[in-house]
Amino acid sequence: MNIKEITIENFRSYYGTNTMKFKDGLVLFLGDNGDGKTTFFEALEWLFDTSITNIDSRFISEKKIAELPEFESDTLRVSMTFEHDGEKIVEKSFSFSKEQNGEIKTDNFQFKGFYDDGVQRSPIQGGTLLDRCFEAAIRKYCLFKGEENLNVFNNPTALNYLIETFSNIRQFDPYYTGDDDKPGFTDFAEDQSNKAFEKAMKSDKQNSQRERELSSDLDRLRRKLDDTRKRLKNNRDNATTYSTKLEDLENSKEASTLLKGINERLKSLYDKKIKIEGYINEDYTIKLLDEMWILCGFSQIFREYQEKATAFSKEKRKQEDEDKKKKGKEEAYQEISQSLKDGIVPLSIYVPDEKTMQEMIEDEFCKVCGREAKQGTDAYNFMVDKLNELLKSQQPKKEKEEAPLFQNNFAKELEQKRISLENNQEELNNLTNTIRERIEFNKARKAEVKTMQDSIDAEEYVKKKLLAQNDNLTEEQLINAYQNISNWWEYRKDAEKQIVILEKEEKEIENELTDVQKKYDELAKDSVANTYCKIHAVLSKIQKSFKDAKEKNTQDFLSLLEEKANQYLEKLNIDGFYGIIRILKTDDGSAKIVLQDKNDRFIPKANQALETTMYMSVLFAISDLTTIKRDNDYPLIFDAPTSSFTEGKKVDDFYTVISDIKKQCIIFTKSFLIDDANGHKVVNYDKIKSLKGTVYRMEKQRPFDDKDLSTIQTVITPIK
Amino acid sequence: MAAENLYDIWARRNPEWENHFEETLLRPFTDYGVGSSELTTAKGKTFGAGYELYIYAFFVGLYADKKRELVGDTKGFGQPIQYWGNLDYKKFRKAYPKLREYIFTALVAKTEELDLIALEKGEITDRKAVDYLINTMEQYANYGFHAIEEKMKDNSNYFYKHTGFLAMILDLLVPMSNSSDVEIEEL
Repeated sequence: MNIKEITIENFRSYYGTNTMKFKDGLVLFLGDNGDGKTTFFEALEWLFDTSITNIDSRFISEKKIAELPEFESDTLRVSMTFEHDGEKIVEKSFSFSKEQNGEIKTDNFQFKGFYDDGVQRSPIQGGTLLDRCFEAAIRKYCLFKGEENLNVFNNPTALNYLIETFSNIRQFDPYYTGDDDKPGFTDFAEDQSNKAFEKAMKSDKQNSQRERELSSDLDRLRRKLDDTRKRLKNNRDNATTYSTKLEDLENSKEASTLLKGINERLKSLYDKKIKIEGYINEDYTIKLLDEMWILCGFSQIFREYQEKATAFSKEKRKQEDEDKKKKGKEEAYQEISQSLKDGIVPLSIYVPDEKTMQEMIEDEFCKVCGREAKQGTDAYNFMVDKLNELLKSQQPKKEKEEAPLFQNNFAKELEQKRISLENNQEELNNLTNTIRERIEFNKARKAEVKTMQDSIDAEEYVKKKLLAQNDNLTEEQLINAYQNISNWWEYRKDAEKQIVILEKEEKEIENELTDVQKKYDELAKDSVANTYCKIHAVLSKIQKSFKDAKEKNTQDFLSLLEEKANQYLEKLNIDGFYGIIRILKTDDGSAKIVLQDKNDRFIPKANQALETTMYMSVLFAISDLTTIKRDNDYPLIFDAPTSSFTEGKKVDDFYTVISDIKKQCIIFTKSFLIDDANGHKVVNYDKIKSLKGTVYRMEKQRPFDDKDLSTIQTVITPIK
Repeated sequence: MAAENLYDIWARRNPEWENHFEETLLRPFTDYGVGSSELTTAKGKTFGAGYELYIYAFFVGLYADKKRELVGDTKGFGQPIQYWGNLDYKKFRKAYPKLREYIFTALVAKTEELDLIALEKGEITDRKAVDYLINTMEQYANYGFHAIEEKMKDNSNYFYKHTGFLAMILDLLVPMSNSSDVEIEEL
């Protein structure tokens, strides 16, 4: 849609018929305060209002009323010719007449439209035509009065309205809403299938006891989860509120250099603290097992084992000897007993082992007693005999004539276990020290952390004090302000702590809920409810897919909006600092437009001009999206959007950029007006020259009586 | 001739414990009954599998050198001893298979009923011998479980502190190692 012409007749200061032609691109109306800028804007608002039949005699030009003879009538009319798939006209009007006593009567309200059907001009109801070509949803994002109304997301429903109108999200409504009151198909199907499943479970007598337990658990956990989420939301809201308050305060302070220093020191302290905390490992319980710390008292017990295993082995050998002796196996007995003194039980044949024995024989040295054992000596022969005996014992046994005394050889196993664990003895004995060292280490790190925390507290105290001191307050106010800030600080800290706890709790309940649900589903396996369970599982998955897709759609839309808004922001701020626009969706579904720097830090109090530019960028971006969505372009109409801009280069640049944007942009402003020698406002033609687009000058016709409204008439002159 | 090691026969066993510890100790401190051990961190449990608390309880009984007969209904874990401490499935944990061998040696040392010579002669079966070992193990652990419960009665938060489980062990060893429980309590 493109506005071609607007006629305003007898509307407030617009006396008689005033027609303005419009072109594409920028259309500027330059006028000082009271010159009729806002009236023009209101005339358009009145025309675009399709909701009511609004005849308001206060709209009628006072000058016209004053001039109108008794019993005569005239017309108030606002009409617009526009291009939207062919030329169309919309016109709103009513008649007014002057009665005998000067009273004004109104009647004959008309709201007409005409469209070109290719053959002829056909009439149509004005409201219908407007709603068809310039629907309310679009109009909401096209007309802006004053700088303070530019933030289109300043009411909680605005974002949803925008998304629902211009993204594809509405297409999901029949399938998924997530709203219990207006469920979509998948919500309904999931709910019904769950009810059917639970009903089938309840009717199954076999599992009734367990079903009751589990479903009561499920109810309890769902309620708990709901409650936790509510608390989490409250705490998140609180954390945001107090952070914003503190950030605002911080940014409004003059002592920003001092603050900067404190903040830098705080950051470094926090970083150090986190690093040291990282060294602290207090998984003592896990170390009891993983590092086998639990064996710290085991030495005594292991000694008992050593003694028992050795005694057992010894006793076995003793009995074996006695047995051999008893059974007359003198030969074997002699061999061993000859080499040792009477009554002494020889070592097990496995000690020392085969390799050790061979090594000692080769070296002609007994490494058990630490003495030489040259070939030919008794000692040498003893070693050779012992090795032979060991080798003999490893030979497959010839079939015995008699059962041996010992059928088993657990003694060997216990000996081997003893030998193998003895190697770890040192480590075991040292465990108490290891544990003590770890505890000492953690203790020392904790002390360091405490020191850091003390320094942090001290810096924060100074910071709070500094924030309070710089508000030009009396001492009493100062104390109160300090108290407030301290409270905000505490509230924020509390909320942040709670968030961590609640997030953990939420996760735990979710896990628990999944577990119980799993058990509940498993209970169904052997019952008639199994089919219901499967159906519910499938429908639940489908519902989740729709939910995910819907969220993705919303996110994509917002990302696109952000991307486009940032492109405009970059254009509109030629050399100044401007940051990055972020559109944040809050938990309650509303949105916030914020500026961030590239390190994701919020810029809480951008100057008004930057803020205005930011909002306008978002508006241009929305306009782009509506253009894509409706396959048509729409004008943007702003009344005094740049009143906070300081005149000069900034304003010139701003309008230069807007005149380059390929969008019909109608702006009413007092920029480009300068005082002449008499103090009258005149157009600064030098600046206008460089602008692309149409420029009108609107001013009060002179002379006029500034105390008599009926002398006021706006005159519009095309100047470019 | 027995072809098998006593240790292997022992390790295939599932020692039992009194049923009621499931609610009072195993569920609060371990993943027992959860099914998947992946959840330990998320759920903030102290131990992983149920047997980890069992091992702990065993050492409490062992160091206190106090046994307690099991009474009432009892049950075992899903995994026999031979898998204890393998932790193949677990992230951020270290396996401790060697600990099983130490437990075994402790049982051999402390089971007076077990006549090793008689076992070696085949007068008692290896199964019977392992019965004795398991019995010792169960009684030590049973004492340990009761001692943990007692401790919780005195101070319900005791084991929810980082130091709780370690401190209880160190306390039992005070005469042996001269370590001060005050020191750890301060942490």
